[in-house]
Amino acid sequence: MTAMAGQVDQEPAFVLHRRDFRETSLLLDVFTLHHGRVSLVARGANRPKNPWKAQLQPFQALLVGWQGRSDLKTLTDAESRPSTALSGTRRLYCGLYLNELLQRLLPPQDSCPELFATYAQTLSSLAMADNVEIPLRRFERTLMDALGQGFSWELASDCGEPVQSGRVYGFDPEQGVTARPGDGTRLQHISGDVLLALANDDYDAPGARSVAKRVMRVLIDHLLQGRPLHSRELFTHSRGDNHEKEDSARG
Amino acid sequence: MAFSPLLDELVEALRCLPGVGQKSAQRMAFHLLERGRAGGVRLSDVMQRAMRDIRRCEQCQNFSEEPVCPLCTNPRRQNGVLCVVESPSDVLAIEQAGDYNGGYFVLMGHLSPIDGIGPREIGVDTLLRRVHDEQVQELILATNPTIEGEATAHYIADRLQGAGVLITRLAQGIPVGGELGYVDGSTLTHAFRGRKPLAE
Repeated sequence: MTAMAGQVDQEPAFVLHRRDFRETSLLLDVFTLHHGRVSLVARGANRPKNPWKAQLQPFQALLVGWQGRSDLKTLTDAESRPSTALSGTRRLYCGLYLNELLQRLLPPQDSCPELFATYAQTLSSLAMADNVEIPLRRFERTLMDALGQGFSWELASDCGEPVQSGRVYGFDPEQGVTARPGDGTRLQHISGDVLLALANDDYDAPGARSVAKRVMRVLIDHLLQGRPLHSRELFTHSRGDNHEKEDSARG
Repeated sequence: MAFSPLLDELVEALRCLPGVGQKSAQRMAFHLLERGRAGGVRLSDVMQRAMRDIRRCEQCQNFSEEPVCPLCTNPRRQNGVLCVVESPSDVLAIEQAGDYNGGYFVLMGHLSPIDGIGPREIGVDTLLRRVHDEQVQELILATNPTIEGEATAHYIADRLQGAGVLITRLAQGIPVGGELGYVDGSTLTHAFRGRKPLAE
């Protein structure tokens, strides 16, 4: 992958964020397969006829090359790979949500190939599936694992015993699943059956989606230390199918 | 720096302009002092008035020194049609093309959650109020064909669902005088999807 020091070629990547830079350039944050989140300057990309301008869009699968030793690299090459476009209101919001999560939570230049694969997979699931919730939850779970925030859904951390069917548990971002939740525990009354289903990646069990959503939200909010996630605002007014679920999860 | 304090200050002040670094700022300052004093005085006078008086039009959010801008008060503009754009330069481009005769709404940006720019920052509520108050029949969403522009258009359309307003989006396709071979893939895909029967 590395031809000479500071030079990277043909690296699979997605644009997370772009903004204008100087008169004719773009400043990009890209998520890459081997190098994690990288900041790049695309010189001249903001000129009217530059082909990069059209290619360097979020959710477009790319192969990019760059050089440079500082934190801000210079884009040397970009070509688009076939990928499914995200279309429709809800799917676009979901895509923006994924990008905001990565941009805000992933430390720069931290390689996580598994997360990259999940991200690419999530984008194509979002583009095709009618239900956006499950792909989003799977992505959030992989992201938490990559950030070292993963926890076991089938083990109560306070007593060290496996989660049992028929019992009730709590969840706290610092402790994980607890058998004896205190007053300060963020989520209470989570059924053991649901936790066991989620441990097996099963979202069809009654209540599983709602619990997964609440657990992930508590965990993400904990990592953001109270700063709001702006892409969530978009869902608030959305009249799509998830509106009620969104509200119920907030309460 | 090696100049007199006032000259230093002038160079420093000029650097607030986009794309102007130390060297360009020096060149501008010298030019004004050597050959363009009258121009410099005029610039400073206009600059002062503009910075003091130019605000946002109450109706369309575009820059204007009047509470409501000339475009919004023009009685010859068609009522009931509103074109939503991202920036004042978009208004200018559409006006220069000359084909459109309705009103405008300038968002002064687009939704960009990562930058903390949400519906409030681009004035979506003001827009919705105006659509309602003026009984707008058609809302043309002319935000840029970028992901953020697309998301902005979808968000506005979403908020107006069931309001009885015809919501349209500008077509995307091959530029006049363009060659197919040089058009990027996604533009070409859009052009194909939006193809039309050949008019007689």
